[in-house]
Amino acid sequence: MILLLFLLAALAYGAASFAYGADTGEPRDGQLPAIRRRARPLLIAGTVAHLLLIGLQCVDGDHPLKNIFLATSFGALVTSFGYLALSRARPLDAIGTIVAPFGLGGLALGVVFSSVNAKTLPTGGAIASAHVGFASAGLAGFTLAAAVAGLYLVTERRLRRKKFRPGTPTMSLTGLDRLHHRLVLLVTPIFTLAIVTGVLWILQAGGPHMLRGRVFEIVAAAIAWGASVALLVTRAAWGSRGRRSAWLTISAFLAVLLIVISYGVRG
Amino acid sequence: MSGELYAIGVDHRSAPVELREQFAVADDDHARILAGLRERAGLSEAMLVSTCNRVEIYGVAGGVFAPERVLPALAELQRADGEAIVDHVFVRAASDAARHIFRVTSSLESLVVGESQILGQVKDAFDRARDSGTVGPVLDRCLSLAFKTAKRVRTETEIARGAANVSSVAVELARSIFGELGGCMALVVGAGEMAEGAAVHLRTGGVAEIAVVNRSAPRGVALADKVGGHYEPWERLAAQLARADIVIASTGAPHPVIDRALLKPVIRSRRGRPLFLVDIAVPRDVDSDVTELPNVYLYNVDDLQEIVHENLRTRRGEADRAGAMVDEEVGSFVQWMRTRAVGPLLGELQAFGRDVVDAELERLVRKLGAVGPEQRAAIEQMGRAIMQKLLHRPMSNLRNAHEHAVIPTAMLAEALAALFELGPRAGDRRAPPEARIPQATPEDATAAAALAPSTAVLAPMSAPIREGTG
Repeated sequence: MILLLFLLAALAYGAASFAYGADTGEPRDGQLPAIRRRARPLLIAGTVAHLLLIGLQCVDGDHPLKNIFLATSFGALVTSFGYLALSRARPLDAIGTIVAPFGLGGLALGVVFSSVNAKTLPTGGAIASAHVGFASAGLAGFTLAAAVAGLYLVTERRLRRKKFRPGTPTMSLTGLDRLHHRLVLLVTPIFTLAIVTGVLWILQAGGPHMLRGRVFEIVAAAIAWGASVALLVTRAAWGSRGRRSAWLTISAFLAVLLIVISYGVRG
Repeated sequence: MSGELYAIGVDHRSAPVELREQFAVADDDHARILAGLRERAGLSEAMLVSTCNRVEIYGVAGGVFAPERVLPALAELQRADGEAIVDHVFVRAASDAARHIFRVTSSLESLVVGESQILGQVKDAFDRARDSGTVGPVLDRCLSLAFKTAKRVRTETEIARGAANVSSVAVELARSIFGELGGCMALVVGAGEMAEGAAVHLRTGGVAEIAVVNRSAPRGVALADKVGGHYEPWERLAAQLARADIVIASTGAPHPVIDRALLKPVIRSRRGRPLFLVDIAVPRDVDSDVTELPNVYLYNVDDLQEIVHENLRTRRGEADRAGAMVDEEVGSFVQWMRTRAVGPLLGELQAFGRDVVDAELERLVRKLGAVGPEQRAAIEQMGRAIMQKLLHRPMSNLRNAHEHAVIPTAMLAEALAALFELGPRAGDRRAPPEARIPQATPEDATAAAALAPSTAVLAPMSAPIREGTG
């Protein structure tokens, strides 16, 4: 059953990636081409299959707390859900080109790698559960925020270089700026809690000396947290926005991604 | 009345504006003109489309109808010079008329292909004609299909994509930066005609506040009043730049009036808010080095023109696709016209068949004596089945004669009527002959010429009576 769900989810995510990424030319009078219109239903199908798969894995004892791959798979699922919610009333198709492959990658990590050679995370009860939950949500939030910020930068660059064709059904520049700021505003407290619970988990599992082995992850987390807080503070204090804010969001995401990769590689 | 559809008129291609304007009809004058046209030109159905680019009459007429009389009749009603227009009038009949109406409604005949106003204008004209009681089944069907086609063309092609003038492109770009313009403030620098046009577009686009900065206060105030904005003296340019989201620069100054030195402190005070500068002045009003400043987007008149040209190129490229769609829909309208024309004859043929079956059934029942209800039903069913089978092929062939028959539809219909003694000869059940006899296509006409000597009564369905220059 897990294999069947995996295949279904992978096919749906793969087809959604193709549909979002297909070069269909310019939309016609606000109407998307047929292939692009199928992208969202495919992503929904992939997300639902992914959710069922994670549910079945939990029943089998392979829950997101067990290892970093299962946790990342859960994070990718949250990202897909987040994107589907965000894009319900906003023209954010361009971000689908990132979210759908991200979902596929998370799915593959959660099924293929976790069953091959995954180190089991130390058990830590409620703190560990909270950490994995917050971290997965943080990963999803930063992924979405960075995707929106990336779209902002691309749109801004095209406008500046006069390559932008008005009338394209996409969010306005200020709309994108506002959206990635709101996402960072939402995800920063969650990520802060992920850091706190992570430190507590390490202390609980092995004492302060364990922290020394996690310097890279701690520094990366600090960078991510610092970038997101800097964005929020500069916006609140000086109204700062635009390219700098977008780059801060992307920096935060890259730092979070490094943490995930580091856990994946080092265990 | 033969029920022939006509489109007669002048448009931006066939006649200059000096002539067109003589024939333009005011909205509240449509009823009088339509009534006059029906009376003087012999139209059974009529509607009038009068816009700045065309004055056209769509009508249905039959019998001895001279379409050339329509525009002179309109000239009389409008007290215009009918002689001057004669060489500029186009007349299209039957499927060509339908094609013209469909193309006009779909904006394929517009000065700016794909513009959206014409559909509304034709709809208004149709409503006025309907209110005047001059719309019958043919125009009703034709225009309903034309509106459907126009919608299809707009949704399935890129014919209407992108703005077609500089001011609209500026508004679209502003929307790409700010989204809805309701919360935006626009600053108009200069008070020339171009500035006014752009300001009006911005106001229509929903901009909340418009400030006008101009060296000459009276002109600035006049423009501000015109566009519902407020005037600010030239000395307050920097302060207004700090507040504005969209700046339209259109002064007659020989040097840039907005440069990096002026804008740098302004940008700092804006805290990252984007500033969209539209420079439609020649010589340019905004120094191009301002684009080095963050969050500044500068488009000059050439940049905007390039987008307009690209949009128009796209529209022209889509015109062929749209034309094919129109032809397809015109085909279905022509098919309806033909079916409508042979419909009464086919009805009569079926009625004749039913009468024969009924009569023979009665005769048989009388002859056989005691026949139970079941037997009677079985005999009746058999009779009707034989009748249906016998008539199916000729009826179907007549209905589709225009597609593949060697003999023209009209001749077949005449032959059928004669062979079965349908129509007046068999009583007075049939509709007037013109309504029953389908019109011939050019192919029909060619075939008819080869096969029969007496096709003079048949007007070629799709041949225009006279083409104008448009």
